[in-house]
Amino acid sequence: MIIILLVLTLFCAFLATQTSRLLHATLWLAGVSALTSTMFYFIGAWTIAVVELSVGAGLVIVLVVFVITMIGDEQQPVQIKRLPLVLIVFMLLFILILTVPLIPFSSTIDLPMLDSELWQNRELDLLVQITLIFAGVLGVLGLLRASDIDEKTEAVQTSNKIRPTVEREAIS
Amino acid sequence: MSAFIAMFVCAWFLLGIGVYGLMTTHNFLRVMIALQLMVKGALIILVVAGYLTEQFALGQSLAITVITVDTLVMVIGLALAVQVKTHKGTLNIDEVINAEG
Repeated sequence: MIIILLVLTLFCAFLATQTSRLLHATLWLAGVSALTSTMFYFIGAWTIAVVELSVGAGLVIVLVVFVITMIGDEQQPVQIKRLPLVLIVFMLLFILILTVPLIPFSSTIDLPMLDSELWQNRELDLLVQITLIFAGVLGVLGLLRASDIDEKTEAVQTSNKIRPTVEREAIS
Repeated sequence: MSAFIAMFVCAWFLLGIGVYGLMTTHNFLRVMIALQLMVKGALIILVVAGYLTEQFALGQSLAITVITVDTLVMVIGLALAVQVKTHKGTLNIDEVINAEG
């Protein structure tokens, strides 16, 4: 079952980089997220599965689709470039040959609770994450506010350009 | 156990597909999508490594951190994409760099 999910994940990921339309690429990315969360569910990482499904396949995809509707979906022809593909495949094979024999084969696997790990051993991580979320929200607000300021500045500049001509016409 | 090794291999190939997307595209949003693919691969590697080293909870907690940071990167990248499109009129990275001179 997991092997089928893995093959589907790689298929969706490759199509996400090869489709000509951005919206289709986003939908393939959503497929990758959903399949990844399904894999996490099957291996017993239920919390990560839920978080990945809700954030990776939900929030991020909604945001990307929203941005695509704002700025427009340009259709771009995508060609498979062989040299980078061959280089990456060789690099991956090299890494896998080096790393796979080092994987530990433990038969007794204990599954401790994630809650205790999160709230007792890694509480500093949680604090950093909360701070990061606030920093991200403030950053996005700052970016959007910068666009508002630019629009106001352009409006003031255009009104300053228009005003003297109107005054001249009124005087004449 | 073989399923975990298969997941480990798949995660590396997911990373590779993300790197390939980064190398071949010039569109800002496609770069963000390729980064997302790479982060998915890293996520799978973290969880599988936690499972194989008998530190499953640690791997999951690190994966939650990665998801949080990844979402932040995506949100800020999307806001930057909107700004670039508004001011430069294009999402092509080469055109934006050439326009800057």
